[in-house]
Amino acid sequence: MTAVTSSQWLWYTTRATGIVALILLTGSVVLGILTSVRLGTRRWPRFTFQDLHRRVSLLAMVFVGLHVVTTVSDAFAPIGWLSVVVPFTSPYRRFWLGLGTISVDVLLAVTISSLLRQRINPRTWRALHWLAYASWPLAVVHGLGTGTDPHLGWVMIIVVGCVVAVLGALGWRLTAGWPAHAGTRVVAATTSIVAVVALAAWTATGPLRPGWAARAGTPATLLGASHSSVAAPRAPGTSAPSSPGSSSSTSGLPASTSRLPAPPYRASLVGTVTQRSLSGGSARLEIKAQTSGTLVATVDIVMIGTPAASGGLSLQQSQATFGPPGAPTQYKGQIVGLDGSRILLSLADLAGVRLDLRVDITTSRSQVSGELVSISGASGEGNVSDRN
Amino acid sequence: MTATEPQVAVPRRASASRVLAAWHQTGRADIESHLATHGPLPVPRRGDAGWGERLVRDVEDAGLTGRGGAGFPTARKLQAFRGSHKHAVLAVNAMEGEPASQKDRALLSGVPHLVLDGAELVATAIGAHEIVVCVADDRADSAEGVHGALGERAGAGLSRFPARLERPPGRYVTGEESALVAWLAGGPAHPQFRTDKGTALTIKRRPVLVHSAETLAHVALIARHGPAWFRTVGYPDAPGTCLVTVSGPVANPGVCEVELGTPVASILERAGISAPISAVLVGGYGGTWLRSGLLDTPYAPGPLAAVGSAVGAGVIAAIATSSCGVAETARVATYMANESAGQCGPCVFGLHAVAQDLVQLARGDGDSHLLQRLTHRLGGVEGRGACGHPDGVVRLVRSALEVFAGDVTDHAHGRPCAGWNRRPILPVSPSAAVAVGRWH
Amino acid sequence: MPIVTSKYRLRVNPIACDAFGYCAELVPEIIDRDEWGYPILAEGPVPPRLFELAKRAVRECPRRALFLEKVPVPSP
Repeated sequence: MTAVTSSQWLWYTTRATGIVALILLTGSVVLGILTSVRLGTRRWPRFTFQDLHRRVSLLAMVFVGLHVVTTVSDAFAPIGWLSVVVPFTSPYRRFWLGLGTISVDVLLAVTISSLLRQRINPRTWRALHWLAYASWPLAVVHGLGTGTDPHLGWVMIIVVGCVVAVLGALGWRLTAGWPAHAGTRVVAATTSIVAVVALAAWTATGPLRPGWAARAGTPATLLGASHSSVAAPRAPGTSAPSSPGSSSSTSGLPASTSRLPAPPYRASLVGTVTQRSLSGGSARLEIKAQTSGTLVATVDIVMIGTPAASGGLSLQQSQATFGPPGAPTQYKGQIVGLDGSRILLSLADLAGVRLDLRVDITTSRSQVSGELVSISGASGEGNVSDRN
Repeated sequence: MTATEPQVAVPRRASASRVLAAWHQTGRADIESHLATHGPLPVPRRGDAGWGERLVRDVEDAGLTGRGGAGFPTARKLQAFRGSHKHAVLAVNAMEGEPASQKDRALLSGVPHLVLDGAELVATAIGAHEIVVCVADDRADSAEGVHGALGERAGAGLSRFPARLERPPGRYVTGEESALVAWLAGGPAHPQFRTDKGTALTIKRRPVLVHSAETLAHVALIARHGPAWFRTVGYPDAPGTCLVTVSGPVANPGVCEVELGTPVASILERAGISAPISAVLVGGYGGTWLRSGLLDTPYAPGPLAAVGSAVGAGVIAAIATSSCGVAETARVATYMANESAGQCGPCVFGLHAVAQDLVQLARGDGDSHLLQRLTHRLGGVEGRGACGHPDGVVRLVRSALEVFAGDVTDHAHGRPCAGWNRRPILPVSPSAAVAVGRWH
Repeated sequence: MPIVTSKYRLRVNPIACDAFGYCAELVPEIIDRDEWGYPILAEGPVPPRLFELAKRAVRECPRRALFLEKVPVPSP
């Protein structure tokens, strides 16, 4: 039951608008090609294709704009406004994001020049518009390289569909009016085919393989919290396709200002303890504490049981949560060991990633202080999450 | 390049001797002969501010019209260009795109100094700072003549303006004003589209005035002898003389100077008719056919217009009765279609289609709808190009259909006349020549 | 409704024209196409009821070849 924060919405919107923008850009390219082959029927005269092309292009730009704005506003990944227009300046997946930046630059030039079409030199307009052909493949590669969803079946179907659509339209364009400019057409056709084959090969060996996030340049601080098995570091939204149980990135870390760093953890604790009686003679004890130092998290431990004569509690039930301020219940579990002032917790998050903690506290009236340490299971032991 | 290239015969005994006077009298083109014949160039004195205006007024009073083909009143063209045009350019159009015309060649190899005199006078009057003489790149004689004359003038200290020779590509349409200026500005020699023909042509914002070589030669004479002298010969509303190129079944084909208003028949007779003539192509390849019955028409704009013809580029190309006017027209049309600059759809496709129809007609191969289709296509092509090229072809073909009507009917019924396969009379490129039939 | 006081006619720059044919699709009443797809414009001013469509045709032309021009008023 992870709280869906506003920053998660930004994250979802970035990815969604990116996909929609790609679909619309594909539509724009295809429609543009259809105007150049002068497609027209009685029901759909030629001018309608030009009109549609313009409208779809503008709509695409709206979604590109949303995609850009949500990406920059999402403070999780360090992408600033500069990276929107200056390529290769983002610490997040510098190269692949940079391709998207170049695509945006080209699209901006094409859009502005087209809006001002009647006022600028026709040759200038045509030259810029030819550049539009470059913006589309850049967007595709950007999506596959930066995007976190290529492994999803339906996303890949969309991308393949877009590529097929553009290839089909290109094929038509290159054969219409043959054999004029035969040399150029053959070169263009060969280049396109080679490019698509290269794209497929790269996609299969790159983004679709585990570990892509790290290889693509995701900053280390963002790579996975727990479950950082060597094979599949978890960047926001990426998951390890090879691990059978892991669900998709929706269960991922919240895109909030505070995230749990990677374990191991060792931090001081400070907090409060409250106790009340329940009906039937049981008592309920709750410890709420915050860590301090490099680890920013809260831990909440609830114990229910019968008070023992010695002042402790004979534990019947327990519940514990642990997480960063933005998602305090990220890890849930219970007490698995109680020994004086030492509490052993066994927790797991929604994906089933395990976290075992040892909490040592001293109580003074209703204040508690102590230490929290993570134990085993956190790094490198490759325990695959349990599917619940 | 040309199937039959008339020699630049410029007979020295002439009907009129004004522009070609130095050549007629001395047979030489050098500056001494020129000055001996015409006297010094009347250049303005320093500080004579009204000189330019007086020259323009003299030209106007003389009634000089452009000798390049359009026949526009020269004074009006000059007047529109006066005013302080800094860095204006005067372009001398000696491109002679008409294959059947040789007059620019005669001028530049026979009397280049008279042309250059006129150029200097006009340049002074309009405030130009530069003279560019344009000679097609395939006309070596003309180029040599200009080159030599420029050298002589420089040597004698007579060049008052920077003057240079340029060699644009020699195609039919490259002599058109806007095409010429486009080439001088650094682009291809393609005619330009102008929404308003009145706007000045420019080369990088410097205005350019284009005048044909013959017009400038006449200006040089008017400046020396005055408008009254100019009007002593000629025709009402068409005073003075002009150069014509006579070709066809005549003993002495070539360039000669005639007084405007001379009947076409007289011009031909002076050249020595050697075979019965069926028709005469007047003006150029964008001109019209004149039937033999109308050869008494005075050679002047008014009378020619009355019979649907025009002076044009001064071409008077006769064909004998043994030739086939339909075949000649078909070859010319094919040539003209190939000479399209290729910029405008109706010209490129329309002229090609018209030429194909005519070739079929000439061979007697046509179907029953050919004439109807041809007439329809002519109407479709006319006026739909950026320049006058397609209009000229339409004019030519329509006049052929009318003048050779009897032959056209025979051809359309599959009975081409005997002369269709003969050697072409009118010079066209070899590919155009063989389009219709082989020639031996 | 503004009163059209000036009369305009359609003209085409034949060099720029590339026979896309949008103009003939938008205003077929006054623009026809020849056998090769190039526009044949009707003579005279554009009828007022077609003026907006004519302006649209001018805007839509991919080569900006079509334009509107004030009809010269003949002097009395």
